[in-house]
Amino acid sequence: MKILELKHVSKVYGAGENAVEALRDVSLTVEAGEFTALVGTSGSGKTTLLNMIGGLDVPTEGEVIIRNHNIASLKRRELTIFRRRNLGFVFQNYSLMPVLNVYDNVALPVSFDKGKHIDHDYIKRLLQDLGLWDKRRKYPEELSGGQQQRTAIARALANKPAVILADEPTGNLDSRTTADVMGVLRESSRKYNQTILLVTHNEILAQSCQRLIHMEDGQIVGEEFEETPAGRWDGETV
Amino acid sequence: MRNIIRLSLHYIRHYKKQAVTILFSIILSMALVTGISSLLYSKEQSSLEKAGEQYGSWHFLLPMTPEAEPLVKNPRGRGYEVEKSGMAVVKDMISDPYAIRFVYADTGYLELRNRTVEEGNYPESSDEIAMSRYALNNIRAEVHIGESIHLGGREYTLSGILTEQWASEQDGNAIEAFVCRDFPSESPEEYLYLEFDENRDVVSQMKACMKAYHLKEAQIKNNSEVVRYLTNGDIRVIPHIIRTGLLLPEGKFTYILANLYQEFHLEIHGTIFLLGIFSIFIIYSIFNVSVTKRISQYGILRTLGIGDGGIAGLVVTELWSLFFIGYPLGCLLGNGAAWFLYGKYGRLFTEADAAVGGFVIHWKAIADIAVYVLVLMVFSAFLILRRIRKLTIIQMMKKESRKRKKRSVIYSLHTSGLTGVLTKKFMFSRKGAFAGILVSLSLGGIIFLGTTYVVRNTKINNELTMKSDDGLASDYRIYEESSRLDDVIPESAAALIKEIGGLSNVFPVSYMLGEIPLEEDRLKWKTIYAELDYEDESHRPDPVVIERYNGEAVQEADGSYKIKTNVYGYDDGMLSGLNEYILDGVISPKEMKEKNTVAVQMLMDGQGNYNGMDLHVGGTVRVKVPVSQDVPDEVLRFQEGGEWYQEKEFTISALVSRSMGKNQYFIGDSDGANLGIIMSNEQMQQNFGVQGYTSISADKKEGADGEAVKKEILRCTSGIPRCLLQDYTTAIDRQNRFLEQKMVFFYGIAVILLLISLFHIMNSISYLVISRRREFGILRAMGITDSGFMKMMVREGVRYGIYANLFMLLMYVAVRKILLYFMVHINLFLSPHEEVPFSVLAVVLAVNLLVSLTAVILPARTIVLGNVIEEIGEQ
Repeated sequence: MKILELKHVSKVYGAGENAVEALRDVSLTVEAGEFTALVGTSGSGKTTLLNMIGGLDVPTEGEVIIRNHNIASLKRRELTIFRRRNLGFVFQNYSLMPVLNVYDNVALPVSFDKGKHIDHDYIKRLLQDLGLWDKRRKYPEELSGGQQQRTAIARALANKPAVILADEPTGNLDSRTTADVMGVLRESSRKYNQTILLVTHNEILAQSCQRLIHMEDGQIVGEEFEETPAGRWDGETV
Repeated sequence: MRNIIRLSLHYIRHYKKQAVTILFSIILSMALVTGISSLLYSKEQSSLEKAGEQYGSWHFLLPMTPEAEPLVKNPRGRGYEVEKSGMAVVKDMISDPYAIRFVYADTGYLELRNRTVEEGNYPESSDEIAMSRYALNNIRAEVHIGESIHLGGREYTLSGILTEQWASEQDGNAIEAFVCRDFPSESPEEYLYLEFDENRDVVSQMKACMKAYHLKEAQIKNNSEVVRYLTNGDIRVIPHIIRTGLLLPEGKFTYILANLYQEFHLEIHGTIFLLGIFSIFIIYSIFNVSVTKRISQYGILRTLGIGDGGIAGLVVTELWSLFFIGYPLGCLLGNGAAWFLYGKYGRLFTEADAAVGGFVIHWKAIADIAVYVLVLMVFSAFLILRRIRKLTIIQMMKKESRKRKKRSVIYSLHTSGLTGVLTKKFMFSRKGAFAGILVSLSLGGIIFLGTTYVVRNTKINNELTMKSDDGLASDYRIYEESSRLDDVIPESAAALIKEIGGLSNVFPVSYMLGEIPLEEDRLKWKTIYAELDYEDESHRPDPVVIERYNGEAVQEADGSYKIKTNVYGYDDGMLSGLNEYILDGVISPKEMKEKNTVAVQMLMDGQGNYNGMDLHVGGTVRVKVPVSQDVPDEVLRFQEGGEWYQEKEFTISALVSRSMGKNQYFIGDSDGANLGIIMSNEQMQQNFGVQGYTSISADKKEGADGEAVKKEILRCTSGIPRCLLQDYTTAIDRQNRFLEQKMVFFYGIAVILLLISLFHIMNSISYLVISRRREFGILRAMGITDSGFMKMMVREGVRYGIYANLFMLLMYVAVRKILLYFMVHINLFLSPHEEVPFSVLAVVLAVNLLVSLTAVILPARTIVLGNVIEEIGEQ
């Protein structure tokens, strides 16, 4: 089932002589439950593309369709609510709320929805699955980088979104923790049939995903599909 | 060092937003401190000018002895500079029909006493004389140049008319008649009046003169109303003040504080000190947030080998650099606002004759404040450094705080709305900054409420002291300038005065000198009477009071005391007026007459206490007075046989702090320094057979012709020996205008403070909100809607407002207590029972709420309009 579709998306920053074309006519389709990696060198446009999909930025041209909604046509408030209910974010710098503990950080996006009760059983299961249950009362600054990123993943999963967008989620982590976080993402994708779109500049890391999209100069320049089951990457070569 | 400066300037440039916020904070704080300092100095300058106008601008007065003569020839010497000097020679004195002093005054004296010849010329020959209108009116002479005047058996020609002396200064003093230098005199008394350079401490200058010319301190008198503004106090007296205070049986702290307050202008210096502390607290709280945000930078510097000294230098240099930009701007803003306020409202009620001094910028104070704040900045840099030092380099680079949080609560288990939790957490996560915000939020309100409280009580006190201590209770006072009990205004004359159409509230006062016996233990303050203060050499009784009345207090062989007292008889209207001065009990003229009770005017000590004697409402007091008004002078010593006296016991119905219609010609009656028994005129007649009055006070009816009224009064009193008329209308008018100005001035200060502190709050809160941009960015990325975010921020603003209001009310309760203590014990206010009206309180509370709300919402709107990605990337 098609869950995400990009049609001829372009993004230009600045104007006139200072105009920078960050994305050029990008079209893409992602199926539900797919674990996709966007790879490319720095400045290739992968983060810009992720921001367009996440509704954090608006394309200059083209359409971004998630679950049959063109998000560019949504009003500001509608977009925010849509994002909250359908998209989960994992950032390189974890972006956890420093004043909340692990449990509350995970519950935070759910609490924005009025009338929607926080599913504490689900959160408990998430935290247990991600090995964070014992750390639920800890504050972000009391956790290691890997634990913080796992918390961010749990938060992204809390709302049971259609797509998780992960921007260099292992960029700040050592090789062992990177393997750990990738394992968690893969496991989430499998267990919750979660669609994940991961941005990384690390080709080897991207090899562990089901699908690999190469970007260069704001364009998709190639795609690879999984030949062997996920879990091929052992983390040692990073 | 150069590198440190370069680096700190680089920081300022790089962290522009933070630097601008701190700069604003410095500008506003310094505007507050320097503006207030200038306003306070201007107010003091205005009070000094007013005092100079009333009492003359001279500082010291001494007899013209051969030792003092060089002072006139050498006005400049080591440690002193005489700017003006004047000489007055008392050539002669007569006591009949009025007490008149014949004085030769040089131009210096006239200038220093603020007396000018407004018509005619100063006398040039010994048969010429010059007097004021007041003096001419009272000797019943026509106010015309060339008029022939008969005094002391001689005839003079009126050559000039001089301006009046300040009304309350004339009271109790002989009439002055100015004569020429060659006026014949058998034993002339020469006095030298001095005015020193007012840019230096005048008391120190006088001391330098005393040292240079071996002048005796006992012979020198000072113009205390003026000199008190021109002396800085000698720090060497501090140990003496503290020692004396500690030796007191009670009120130790009050004594020490009151003396330090008086000696060292604590009103100004204390205010600047406190405002400086508050300002630095606010600057510190913002700077601290800024430092926390880039603490990793300091970690990097430490890894590069920069030690604590270098980091301290960096922090101080950054603060100082911003201070050097912000301070002049703050001075300009604060003084500009103060100057505007002073210019606009300082003269609101002023007319030509009641000039308020110009706006004064006290440059030394401005420089002192700069040094003071620079030192405080070093101290706050030290505090920041101390905090940084506790962190390891890794902690600093990771921006971790040292504190590990305690076991935390999972809020989402108990509430579904985590935004409320976030609001609270954000507010309290930086406790120092939160405290800073609360202080700055409530500071303006506290100052405003405090000022309102003081202003309202000052107004009441001013009115009461004006009526009582300055004797300005009514427009006219007709009185006997005599120390004989039988010199009275007859009842027939009083009846005629009551008939004058242009007068209202005509209140006659009868008088008797009395004595009350008091058991040894009922007199609590023995040393208040110089006669009983056996230890203090400098506290000597008035020789005239000793000579004529055998002293004000006498101790008997059995240890008991005999205390002299003024005994007054009032009309009903005046008795009711005493209610404003009530300490205990009730004044009801009807009941007083029916039950033959009295009110007692209590003594007041230097700390505003009135419990010097064991006299209380419901108790009794025994009063002994001469058998009649027509008794020989010796009887007034209260040492004659029993047949010369009559004695009565009265129940006390009220205790009061002051009396009105004071009689200064016997034992004196000044500012709570003398005991008084007050009853109705009828009681005076029935109990002691007193006939006639020693004074009559009366008000001019609105629209009545003042000159005609005065003429009528003089006609009614003509032929009554030693009866004088004092016209207080101008003085009252002037005093009222001055008081009005003072009130507006104080309110103005409070409003300015409120405004500046409002800007301060906006600046501080905006910065704190903006400093959480990243967190807000995360929230927005997580899917909080704009309206949800704004609701969260509104909640934060309201919370700030509520906390600030609670803090403000709490602080106000404490401040009010301190202010009341100062008003009662240091400023010696009469009846400080006024409170801040609820409406004012409500407005201040609402303003605080509104400001906090606005201060949060404005930056929140900027965040909502901002880009989420940029916000998340913000460091």
